[in-house]
Amino acid sequence: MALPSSLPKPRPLAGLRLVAPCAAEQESATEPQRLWCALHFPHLVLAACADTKDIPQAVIETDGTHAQLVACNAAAQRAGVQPGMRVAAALALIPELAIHTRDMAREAHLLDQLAAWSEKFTPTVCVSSPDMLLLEVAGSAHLFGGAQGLQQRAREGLQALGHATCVALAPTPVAAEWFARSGRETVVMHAAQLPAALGALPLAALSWPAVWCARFEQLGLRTVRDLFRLPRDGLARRFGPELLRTWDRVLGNLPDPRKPRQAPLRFSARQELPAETADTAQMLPYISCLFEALCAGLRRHDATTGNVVLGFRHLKRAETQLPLGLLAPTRDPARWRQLAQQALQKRVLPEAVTELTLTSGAFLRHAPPPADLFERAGRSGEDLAALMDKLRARLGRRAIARLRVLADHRPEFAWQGSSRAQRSTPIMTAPRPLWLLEQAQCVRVHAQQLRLQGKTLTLLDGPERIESGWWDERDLARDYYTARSTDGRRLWLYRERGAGRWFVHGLFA
Amino acid sequence: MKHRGEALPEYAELHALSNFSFLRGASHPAELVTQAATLGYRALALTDECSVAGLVRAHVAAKEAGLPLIAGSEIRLVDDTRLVLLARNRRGYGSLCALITRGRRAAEKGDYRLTRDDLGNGVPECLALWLPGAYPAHATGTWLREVFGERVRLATELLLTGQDRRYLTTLQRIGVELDMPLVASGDVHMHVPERRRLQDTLTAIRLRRPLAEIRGALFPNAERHLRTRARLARIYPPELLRETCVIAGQCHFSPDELRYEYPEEVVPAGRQAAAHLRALVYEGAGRRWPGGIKDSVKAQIEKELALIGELHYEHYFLTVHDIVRFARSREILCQGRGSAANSAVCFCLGITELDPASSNLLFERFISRERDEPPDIDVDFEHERREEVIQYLYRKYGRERAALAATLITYRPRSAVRDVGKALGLNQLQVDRLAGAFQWWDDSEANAARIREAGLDPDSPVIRRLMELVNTLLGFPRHLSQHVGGFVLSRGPLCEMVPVENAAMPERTVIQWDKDDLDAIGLLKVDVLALGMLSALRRTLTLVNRLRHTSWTLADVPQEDPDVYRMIRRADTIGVFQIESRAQMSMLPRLQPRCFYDLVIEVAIVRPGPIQGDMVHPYLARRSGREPVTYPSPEVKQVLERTLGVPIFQEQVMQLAMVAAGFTPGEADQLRRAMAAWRRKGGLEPFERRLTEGMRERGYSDEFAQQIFRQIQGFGEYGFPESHSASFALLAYVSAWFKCHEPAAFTCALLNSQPMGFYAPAQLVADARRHGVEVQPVDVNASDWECTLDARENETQPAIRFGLLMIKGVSETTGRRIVTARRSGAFESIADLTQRAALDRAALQVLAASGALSGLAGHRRRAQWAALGMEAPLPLGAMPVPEALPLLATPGEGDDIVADYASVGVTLGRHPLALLRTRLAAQRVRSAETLATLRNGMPVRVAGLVTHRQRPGSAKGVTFVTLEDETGQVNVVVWPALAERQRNVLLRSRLLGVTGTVQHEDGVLHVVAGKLTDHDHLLGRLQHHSRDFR
Repeated sequence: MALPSSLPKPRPLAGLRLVAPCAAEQESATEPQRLWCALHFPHLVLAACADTKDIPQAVIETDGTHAQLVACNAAAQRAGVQPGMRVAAALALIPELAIHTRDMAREAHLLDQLAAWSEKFTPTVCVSSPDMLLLEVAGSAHLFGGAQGLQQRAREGLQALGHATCVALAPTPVAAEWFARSGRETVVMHAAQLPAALGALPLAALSWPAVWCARFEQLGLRTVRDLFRLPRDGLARRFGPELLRTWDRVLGNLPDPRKPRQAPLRFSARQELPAETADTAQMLPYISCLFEALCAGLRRHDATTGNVVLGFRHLKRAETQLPLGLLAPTRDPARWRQLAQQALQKRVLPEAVTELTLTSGAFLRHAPPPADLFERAGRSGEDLAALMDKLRARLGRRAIARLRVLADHRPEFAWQGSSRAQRSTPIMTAPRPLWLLEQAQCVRVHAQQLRLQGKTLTLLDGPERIESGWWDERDLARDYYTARSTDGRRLWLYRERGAGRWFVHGLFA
Repeated sequence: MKHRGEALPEYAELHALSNFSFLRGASHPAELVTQAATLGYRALALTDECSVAGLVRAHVAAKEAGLPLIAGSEIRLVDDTRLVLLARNRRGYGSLCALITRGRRAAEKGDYRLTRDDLGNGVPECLALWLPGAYPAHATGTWLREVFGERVRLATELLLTGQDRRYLTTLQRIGVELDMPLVASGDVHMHVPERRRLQDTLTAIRLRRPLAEIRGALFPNAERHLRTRARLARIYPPELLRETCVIAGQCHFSPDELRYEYPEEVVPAGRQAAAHLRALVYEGAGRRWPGGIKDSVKAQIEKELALIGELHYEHYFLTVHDIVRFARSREILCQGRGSAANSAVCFCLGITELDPASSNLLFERFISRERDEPPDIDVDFEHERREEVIQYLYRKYGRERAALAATLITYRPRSAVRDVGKALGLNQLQVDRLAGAFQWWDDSEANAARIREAGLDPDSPVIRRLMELVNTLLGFPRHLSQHVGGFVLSRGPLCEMVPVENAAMPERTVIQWDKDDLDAIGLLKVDVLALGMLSALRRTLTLVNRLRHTSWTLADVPQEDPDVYRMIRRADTIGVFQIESRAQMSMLPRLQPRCFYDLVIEVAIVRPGPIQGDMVHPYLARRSGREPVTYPSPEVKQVLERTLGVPIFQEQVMQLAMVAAGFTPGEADQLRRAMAAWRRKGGLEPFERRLTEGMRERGYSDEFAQQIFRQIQGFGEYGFPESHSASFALLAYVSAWFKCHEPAAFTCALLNSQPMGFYAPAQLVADARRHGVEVQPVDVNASDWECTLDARENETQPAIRFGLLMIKGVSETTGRRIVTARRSGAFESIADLTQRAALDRAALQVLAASGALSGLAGHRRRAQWAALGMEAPLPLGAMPVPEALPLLATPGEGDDIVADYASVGVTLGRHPLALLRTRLAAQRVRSAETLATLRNGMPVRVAGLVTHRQRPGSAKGVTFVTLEDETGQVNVVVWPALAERQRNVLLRSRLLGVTGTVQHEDGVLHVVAGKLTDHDHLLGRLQHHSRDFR
């Protein structure tokens, strides 16, 4: 059954104000005809984490206890694995199945890249769902050989990028999405043709709420046409007004505004120097200016940033770049300036500079530390971070580390150098020496006496038995003792259990 | 430096945890005991944390090793005060159990909560060891001194921390200040230092984090083991070691002192138990044999009563009788089984229905005088009403005197691999894969190939460590769960005999010992079990009595009916108790049962035990006359005559060991226990030697001895006692009788008792319809909550009307509300139904989907549309909005079948395969009923819905698949190689095609699969689930 003219027009219900149908018709008459191009990426989930090898691969989502397959590649499907399966079931089919955990962030990133690529067709690119882009191309389609031409260009372009895509064009965004999601590369230019073209689409292929899908099934509704020929008031009672709104949107009877994608905010500025110079001290006021502008911009967006690149343009050479990074993001111009100053102290510029540039990293949301009601003098945490940033700017990233105590019984694994502050609780043990030798030194046993560098050692306390570490291949079994040597030094010794050899492992103060 | 033997100090370990301190202790109680004995300890105290669950096992081992065992427990109060309590005597043990009970009852399952107030009574007759920790709190010591007076010691645990000397000095100072003597103890967590890795792993499992993340929470060394006395002498001052023996000398309690004290209320005041029992038995005998008691029966009763009197078991029989009497008074069907249950006494008391006068069963194993083993009676009740019986017991004896026995949940290969894998830092997927490798091979060790298949390298250090740890962890207790129905009832408070703790189910309590523990110290329990078939039989009786205007009980079912045996021989036994499974069905035509005893054998023979012991084929060969029935001696003939010379029952194996190898009854009983455990623990070798030697001495051939031993091994834990078999066979016969003569009532009762049995409702209904029973669909204007029978004119069998309970998603309250509302007249419309039965939209939708509204609204889709439009509950008097009929397509036959399966699980339309028959026939696929015409070895193609997949452990990797089409069932055999090759199709297909060959053997028909084909695409949206691997 064809729909076009027999479609009932939306009637305003008593007591409710709706967009008047005549108004919508007027709008479509006066407003320029729109054309939406939907790009559906059915394999995005897989593309985001699997590689392209033809071995069985699958992507899972977990809720902590159960893992479910959300996508799998062709090789896995050939062996009977399907999305929606439990992981255990899939593994029963393909024991060697390669399993990846779904990476939504990476999917979003991929889609964002694809959106950026699509901007070559139109400035209006919208991210409509995690695997769908919508392009408004009414004004630009003619540049690509009309709707069909654009469809082909998009498909081929995306194929070249390695993405299987379904491209469909329609006068309303929802219709374009429906076509694309059903895997039909349809092109419909006029709203009047929509009912006929949509009628044959299977309802199951579209993304409805799960409850609705079950109801469609129970009512024996298989296609869009089955749905459209039911009475509107009856549908509204059974599915709520949202279904009718979707109905009206897909046919263009209700406006369906979409928000185009925007590139993330970054700051970028240049500052010309009054005269060419290689003296960084002279540049400082101008650098300050740039940072003031950066931080003003950050404040305006209630943002902050943790890294910037300061650029020095030369006449004859490529720009010299000085990346600066902070442990704690800030929008305090003084901190940035200080940092730049320290970094420049060690730096010799290859040539005189004519112009400065400043580019920021991505803007981050500003999250101020919770304010203390009684603010204490000397916020040691922040001061320490500032100090570390300073030292790092001067000595290099890897030169500074914190000493972290680890809960491990093995002395050599009980501490660690770490770049970040982390809390850990040491375990209670017998006293430990302040200095631990990197490599334990062998102690000789001579005439039943322990001797080290010609001095005799006397055991003071012990043993402390340590047997631990079997799980990571560094099992040790030792009896530790404190000892005094004849020159008065206090040493930390151990005897290997089994072999019985003696070693000195540390020095007490 | 070596100590000479006489220089070694005496020592008793007073603080040792076994693996019953779950995920702390790394040794079995028996390992601790044996090691302590080996090291020459004076005594060992088992002090599991707030538990005595391991005490019986330790006690059994200690008796064997001749080591004095002390009962105790380690306790941590909520304020972190820790102490060990040791029972000085029976009274002290009682107060310890009471304290543990108190702590356990005050917390969630598996946890406990004790405060200082709980120790207010000073725990009479217990000694206390204060575990002061690294920083002893003086105040705590003072408090303990006040509570325990002279009975407290300061536990001094020197574990090579490097601070030992300083710590000892501190404790000595505190000891002087508090006037509290010091005593050495070892905080033992393992019997040998080699268990360190396992102990670390257990810690990781307990903290639910990988080892690498909890390094600091591990013990720094392996000192918490049973140290040699030479080591102890170097570490502790001699007076501290001496004190351990002083304390051990004060503790005299032995679990052997726990004698069972039966509840008194089963004997009326002023009456002797023996006299009361005798009176009840003869009263019952008068009922059983109204025409007078035969002399032989009377002699039997007298013999049994004498034995009961001699062993003082009157109270036990009276207790069971009381439970059964209660059930009868509530019309709850029940039946006893177990060795004692098949006695004349039990028959007279109404505990069982097995008439000793008319059956040829031997009852000599009734109670064994020599073994002094408590009688064993399990009573099965209707599964839906067992709770009433349990609540009766709680009511009658009170929570203090009635509790369920525990079931010890131990590590199995899969759980062990999972937990150890996580502890070693394997990720979730690796753990899942590895555990998956153990999926069907639970009893065998995972071999390298399986591990490799799971994508892991069996030679990598991690996996090697894992397998080693798993091997040790297997059989470790994991937690206590409740036994399915073993009740312990006592005269005094139970908690003074064994601690009682909360079970996972609300309102349930369990004791800390399991069935084996109770057995080992001779405590009695009554098994109150649930059996679905009894529910079904009670319903059948009710239906039949109403239909035929009779008042039958189980005892009225005619015996030895030839029609029933004819039906059984045809393997026409879907729904019949025990003999309905596929394996049983394929045995029936071979075994050709002709009398009740044949059923007893049938029930016992199709079990993993006889199958693995290779007893089935010899028995069949002898029965069919292909092989002569011979006996190596008259003694053996006496034991095996009723089973044609092949041991089939557990009792026969034990009797054989006695008559042919000279075992004493006690030894035979040990053999029975060893048989049950050897698969897990091994340990049958001594019996093998004893058996072969004994038989050789008595002139039997080595070959015969070997054969018997093999059969014993095969029996393993699956050996089935004749007494159980007989009770089951009785229910099998009764249910077969009803299936044969009252198929409608029987099927109706089965449907109302679901879930139970081997088959889903779809197969039960299909089978009934094949036998000519008419079945009518659910209908809100005709169905009750349960399925009902409608008498039909000129037909002997009534029709079954599906009840609303068949509809998935209709609750019992909703269903009953509909039935009640209908009493005032049939529903006229959906609106009428909605209003009068106060239904909500969800309930309406479920009803619409089932087709129950078809009478009111036309086809399912119309009903669904109407249901969705209903805004319920409608205000009284409100008129529904008038609506035009929507344009909804009428569902096709296929749609209806799909909807039937999804909602009711059964279709009364054609079988889905009937719709596909033309297409299948085009592919030369045969139907199930035509297979019988084919000759053995002929190639064939079949297809059907997969109803069962099974891979019994006894079948060497063979998978059995049952297919169903519109004409019946096909049994398919899939050999391992094919299963491996087509695993995907085998495991996933709902509609499976099989190309293979027909195999006929003794009237049993199989299709041996050569190739499997997945036909799922033909099914579309049909929801159908197979019952797999149960």
